Amino acid sequence: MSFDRMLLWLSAKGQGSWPQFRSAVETCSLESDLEDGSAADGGSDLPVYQEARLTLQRLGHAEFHAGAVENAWRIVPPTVAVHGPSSDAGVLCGARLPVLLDPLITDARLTVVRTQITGMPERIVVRGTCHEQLIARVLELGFFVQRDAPVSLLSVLPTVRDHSRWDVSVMPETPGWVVHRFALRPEPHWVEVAQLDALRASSGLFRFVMKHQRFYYLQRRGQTFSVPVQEGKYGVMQRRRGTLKYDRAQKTLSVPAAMRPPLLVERALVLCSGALPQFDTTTRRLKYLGVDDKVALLVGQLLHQEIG
Amino acid sequence: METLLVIVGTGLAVATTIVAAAVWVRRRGTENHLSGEREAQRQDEELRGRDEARITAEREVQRRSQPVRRREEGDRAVAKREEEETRRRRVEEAARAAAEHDTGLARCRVEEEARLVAEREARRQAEEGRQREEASRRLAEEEARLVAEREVKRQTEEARRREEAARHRAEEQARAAAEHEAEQARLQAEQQHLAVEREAQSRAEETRLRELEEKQYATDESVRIGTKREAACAADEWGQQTEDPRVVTQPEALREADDARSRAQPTHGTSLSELNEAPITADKAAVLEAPVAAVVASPRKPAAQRRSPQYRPPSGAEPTPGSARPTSVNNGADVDATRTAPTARAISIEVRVLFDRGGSCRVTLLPRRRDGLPDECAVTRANGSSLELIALEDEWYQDVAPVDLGIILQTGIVWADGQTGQQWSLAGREIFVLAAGTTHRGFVSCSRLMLGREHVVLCATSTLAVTEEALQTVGCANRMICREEDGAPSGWVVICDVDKFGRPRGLVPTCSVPQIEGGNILNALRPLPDVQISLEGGVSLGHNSWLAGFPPLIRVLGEAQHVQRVLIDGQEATIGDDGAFHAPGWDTPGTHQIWCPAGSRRYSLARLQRSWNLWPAHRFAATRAGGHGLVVCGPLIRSFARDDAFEAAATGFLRGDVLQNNPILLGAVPGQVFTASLRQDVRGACGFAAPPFEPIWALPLDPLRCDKGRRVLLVGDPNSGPRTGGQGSPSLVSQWCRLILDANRKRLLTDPEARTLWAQYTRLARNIWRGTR
Repeated sequence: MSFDRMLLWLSAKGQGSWPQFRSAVETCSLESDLEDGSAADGGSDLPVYQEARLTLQRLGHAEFHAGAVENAWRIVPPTVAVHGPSSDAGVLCGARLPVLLDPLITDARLTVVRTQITGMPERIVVRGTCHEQLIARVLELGFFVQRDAPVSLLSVLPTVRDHSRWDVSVMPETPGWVVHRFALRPEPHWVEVAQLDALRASSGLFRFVMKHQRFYYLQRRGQTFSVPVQEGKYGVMQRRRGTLKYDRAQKTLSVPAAMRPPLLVERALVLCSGALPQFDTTTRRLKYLGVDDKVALLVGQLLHQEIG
Repeated sequence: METLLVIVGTGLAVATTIVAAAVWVRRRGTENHLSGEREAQRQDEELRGRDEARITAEREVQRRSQPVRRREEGDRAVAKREEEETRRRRVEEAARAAAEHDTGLARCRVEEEARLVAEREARRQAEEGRQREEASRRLAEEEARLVAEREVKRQTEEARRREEAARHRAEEQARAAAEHEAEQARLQAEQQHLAVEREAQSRAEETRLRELEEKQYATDESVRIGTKREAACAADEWGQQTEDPRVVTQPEALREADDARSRAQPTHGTSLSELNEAPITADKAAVLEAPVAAVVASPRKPAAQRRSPQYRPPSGAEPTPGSARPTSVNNGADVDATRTAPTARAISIEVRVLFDRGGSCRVTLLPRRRDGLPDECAVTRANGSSLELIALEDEWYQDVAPVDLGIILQTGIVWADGQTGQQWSLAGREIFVLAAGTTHRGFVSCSRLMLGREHVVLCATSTLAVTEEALQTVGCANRMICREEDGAPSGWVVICDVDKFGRPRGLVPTCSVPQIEGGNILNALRPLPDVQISLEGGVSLGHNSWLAGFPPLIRVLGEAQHVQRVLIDGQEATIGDDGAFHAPGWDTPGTHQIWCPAGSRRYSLARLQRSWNLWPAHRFAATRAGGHGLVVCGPLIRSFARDDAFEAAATGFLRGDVLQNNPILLGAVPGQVFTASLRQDVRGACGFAAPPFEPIWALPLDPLRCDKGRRVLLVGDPNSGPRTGGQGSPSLVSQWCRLILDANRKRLLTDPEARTLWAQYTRLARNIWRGTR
């Protein structure tokens, strides 16, 4: 219930600052929800408010530090993300207020399925008699609609080898940083290196940590880019099988927990089922449900990986 | 002609003669050489005669032909003259033409030269202009660079000056604070000294008065005894006797009072004047002495050493039934904490306890934050060590867990930020009371236990016994103790309650206990019977406003006997299963008022009605959507033309799945054609389009050569027939018609319900096409 209350508060406020969000996390006591959540992914060392932020972003409910205002958050407009090009069901994302939900739930022409999943707000799936009827009705009720949401989102995203969106940057030269290099053999992991070695390297992904600050830099052909960590990991990985595994029968796509896809790619995968990925403690992989062939193919191309 | 004939005749005659002569000569030659000579002579003569005849004939001919010849000569001369004339004329013409040509050439040459000169001049001027621009640009760059350098230098200098000024300011403030503290200590010492002197004087005065009284009493007694003796004598005479017990007990009472005073020690926070007024039972108040840094007669400390602030326990104010505390705006958050700070400038540090699922606890320090303080600052302690404070939110910094937390809780601590001069302080004590339901999860320190609210108590192990006893008296019978192995700081324990599952929860005191006068630390464990209205939970929007449908829980905390009735909007409220008050209509949108004998409070429930707009959270390159940009917001993807407002993106073509196979969009008006560009680097990606019209049809790329299995898709309003008004440019109209006719020619199918409409479009396209031919 804590995440639902959190999402209600975000919907009521509409937008706010990062400190306000952290205050709300304190008030809503999300810690227990996040500890019980299925996406424990092997023990994240992030604080509870960062986990809460990532959860809301992955589900497409809110955006943080994006758009015109830095260091802030803003709720996504109420949207039904339809699963496929002809699907009759969609997941409700974004703002949830009683004034929005009540007409949706009581509408005779729609079926609303509400599922409580720990570690995230309640999943609400809206189903109509057919694809067009679903879209027409939710539009009448004042919701936004995104057809074939997972494929549409993936179609927009650049591949991990596209440097045009990366920021050219400079690694910090002041002492005191704890530096790690992302190594790929025998399996992806971080190896501590000297800061000087990182500054002299011509290629590789490096992590600089000092107290609560954490920065990631990708060295490529003598140029340094500041990148999100997930994009950096896939950016340095060679194309190979085994990282992405797809089960067509089960419609599941799995990745190693340490190789989480970039945020928007992951959002597209989450929109396939409306739920966060499940963490398999045996294989230590994250499993995304409800993923069809087309989505898996697009993900493989964007991440420059073979689908195994 | 006659001449010619004459000439020819003459020539023939001559030729005949010559031939005859030749024959005769040959004939004569054969006969005789002499005769030949004669013959030869005769021939010579003949020849001479012939020659003469010839000459004569020639002369005749010449004479005859002379006029002809003259005529011919004349003609030839004329011809010659004419020829010469012609030639001369030709030459003149040629010369004139040449001259003209030369003139033209010259003009052209001149013009050419002029043009070349002009070109050269223009080039030269352009070159000069470019050079000037280059020079001015270089100059501007140089100036900008110099300005930037100067600006950087100035900023560096300013920063350095600011830093120095801040450092000086901090030093000054530290020195002033130290001096102030020293001054305070000196003043306190003086006051103490004065108080001692006053007390001594008052004692002396009392003694003197007592002596006077005693003397007076003795005098009166002697008088009385005398009178009594007289009376006794008289009584004896009359047979009566009396006794006054005062004579025996009063001195004893005075002695006891003196003994009591001498035994009584000055307790923490109690002034000596108060002690003078203390009742005779003051010795009982001295059972527990709060540890405190000595203040009386403390020597002047060096300016650099910071003293921990003194803890002032809750005062022993006499509780009055129905006395309402000021309603708390922060849902019961304790606002007294800041007042315990030793100085007006210092900000308080709270203590926080969090429990994890395993039942262990974590005790941290939670510094407050004021407006204007930075998000991060480094503070130093008295022992010189430093730590980093990082902002948690606007009014708080993140928790800090020092290694020596047990000692800090006992002795207190003062942190100082060298840059801003701001101080944080925590008064040391042996018992901390923490409450839940404040601004943070877990339990945060407050001044005392409050009835009806959940608490945990953090106490030193040496005070565990008295603490448990105090908790027992306030109704907290069920207790769990977390020790050092459970996460409590060294030398401390955390006392809490447990739920039915064995999980830690807060203690809830249920009855108030009279306070101990004199500022005893155990007063923190004695809740007042104060009544206050508490609003908790729900979805708060701030400023006593909640979201409709998610109202707060209305609780009235305090001594139940003082809460006779609670009204909500004038109606009697009842307590539900959740322990909260309800009344009819209490959770409807609008403003409501809660009343109880202790006070009243308002709250409002707002039913939010708002419109939702798309906004660009993530932007992507324009090449992915036919020249238009793409934005993402949550699961929404929209394309929009460059420089257009994002609201226009709502009208973008939404059916990206269609564009993969049918990227050409046609509108209802001829000329409305839009081709969506598809992504080439990723297979299977859908397209995006933002056509400037309402698309009706989606066609394959190159309908005449596509696969026959492709279809023409109706993507717009099925009732939107073709329109002829406002046609586009002829080329677009032609393209529009051609695409429709090509699709028709290829016999591409469309949906059965769209066939009639498609036929209308085909007909119009054909008519327009024929009209243009």
